[in-house]
Amino acid sequence: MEPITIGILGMVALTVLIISGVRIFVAAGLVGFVGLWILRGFDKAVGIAGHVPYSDTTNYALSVLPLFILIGHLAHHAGIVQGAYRCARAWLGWMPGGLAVATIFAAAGFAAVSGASTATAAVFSRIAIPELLRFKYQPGIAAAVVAAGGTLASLIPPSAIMVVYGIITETSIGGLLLAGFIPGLISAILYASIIVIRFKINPALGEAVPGISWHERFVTLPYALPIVFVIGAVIGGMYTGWATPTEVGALGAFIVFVMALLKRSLSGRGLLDSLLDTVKLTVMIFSIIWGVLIFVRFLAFAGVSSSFSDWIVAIGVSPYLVLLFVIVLYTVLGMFMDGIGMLLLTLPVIFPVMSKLGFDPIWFGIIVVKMVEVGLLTPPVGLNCYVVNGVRPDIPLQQIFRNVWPFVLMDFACVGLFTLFPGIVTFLPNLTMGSP
Amino acid sequence: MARRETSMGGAALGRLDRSLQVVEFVSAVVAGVVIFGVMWVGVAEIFLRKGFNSPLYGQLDFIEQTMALYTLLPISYCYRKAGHIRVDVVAGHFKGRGKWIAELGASIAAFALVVALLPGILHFFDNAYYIGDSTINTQWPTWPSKLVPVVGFTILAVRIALELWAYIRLVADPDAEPIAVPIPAHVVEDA
Repeated sequence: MEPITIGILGMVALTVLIISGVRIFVAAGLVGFVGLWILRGFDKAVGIAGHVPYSDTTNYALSVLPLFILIGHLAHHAGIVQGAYRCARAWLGWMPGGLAVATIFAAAGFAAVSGASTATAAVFSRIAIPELLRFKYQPGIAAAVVAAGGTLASLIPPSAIMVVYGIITETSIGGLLLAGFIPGLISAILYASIIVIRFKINPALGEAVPGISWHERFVTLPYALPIVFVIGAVIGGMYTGWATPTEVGALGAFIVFVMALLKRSLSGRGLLDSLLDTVKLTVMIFSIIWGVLIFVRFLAFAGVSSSFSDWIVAIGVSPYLVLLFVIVLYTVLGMFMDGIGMLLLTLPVIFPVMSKLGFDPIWFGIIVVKMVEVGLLTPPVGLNCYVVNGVRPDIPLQQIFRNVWPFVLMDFACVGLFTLFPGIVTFLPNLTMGSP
Repeated sequence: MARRETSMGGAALGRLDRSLQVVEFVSAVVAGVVIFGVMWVGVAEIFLRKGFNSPLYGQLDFIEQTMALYTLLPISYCYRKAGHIRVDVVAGHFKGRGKWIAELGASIAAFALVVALLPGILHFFDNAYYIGDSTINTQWPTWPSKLVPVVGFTILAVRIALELWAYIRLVADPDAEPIAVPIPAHVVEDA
């Protein structure tokens, strides 16, 4: 059998295993191992597959990942969310759908100290939904706002998923983190706009927050300080290049840790829980990374990625048609799969194609992460909607999914916007790193 | 129908599971402490390099050599806590014996992977130990770090072996109390 045929059979086997409920890291590692065995013999397969888990995960560049995850978990315990929410509410509550708008921007703020979307959604389910319900917001809308707001953590740095993209495509992690900032902000603004429009059309969707004085507003400002500090450290560190992503992650975690100590809101138990949660998420992500990298070794020997990209380039279709196809593919995959798994499984084949077609790796990274955000919201497996439903079982999943589509529409609007004006994405990284 | 805890060695299985959970918990605490340590090392490095123009000696090697302690050592902890991502669109629909058969299949796949990887991982450590491999800057030996995946994967092998037993027991008696299997933790707990 031709190596390429074996490669394609391997991809089919991987899909079947994953659909039948085998853990993603197991499916990828196992198919990769068997493929290597067939192509290179048993001893070589043992040798190659045996050193990938260690060699490919103990790399300085990857040490940023647990630190980004730790920032979010510490921030949760440090009560930063409540502060951000109070502040956003005081300043934005007056708008139509003001409390929902405030939720979006508080989530965006929290995203700046959190690397994981599901964590953000979980935290806001506990804090924002009771408030929204108190002001007579329809439960489905309240839940959808929280689920959508949570996705912002994927784009706004620090972002775990962005680091994973950087690792698998060998794209500058610093560049990616910088690039995510403005698109993240634009996403938040678009989310807020659709809320304002919906509430303008139908004010009965929820009550306005009664008059808040300027004094009250300014009193809440200090609550946003930790977020400002962490944004300053991350953006400043990346922008000026005075620290590596790992150091920036360490500094961010340290700032939140000190804030928590000052506020006396972090107990020993809280610290241990933050660390254990961080460990669980970290080892989960790293397991998929090495599992998929074993699979990628197999694909490389089978010559699948290179043949595929050569083929796409040779048939000479418009790059934007390919991009459209990729977006449709991620929309469909995102309905069923978790974002990190989806990226790790598809990028080894898709990224070489896109880069051969001339797309900027950082720009494509932002588009891909945006598609991950879509996947977090769309049924049947929109993880963030499940998270919100998990915290608030009284709000049925169907109701959340029904109210989440305006936000999904805004996500696609973002993708369109970034495609028409790629400068929105590449502006910040180019400013610091020079044009490619 | 009352759930049977004692059928097919359920009590022994439960004891073994609890013992292994202690080991896994310790591995996770070690990993957590290391991550916390990396935070301090990172901050110290910035402070010393920017403030005193004297970078922290060996910080890069320290960070790389300790990474396996949180990327690979607690792999079984994550496994037991149902932390590893899977797609249960299809498997989630099964009930009773069908569900346990699907779970058994997923466990067999995991066990096969670990058995396939362990010899290579062991060989990798062995090599570093006998050659006397060391880091470039600090000349620290690398074998202690390469021993970590051997330990992590051994714990995982034991964990999955227990799980195989647990699922075979449940396939034989679907109404027995599920023991030593990851209760698919609520997604919220992951977050």
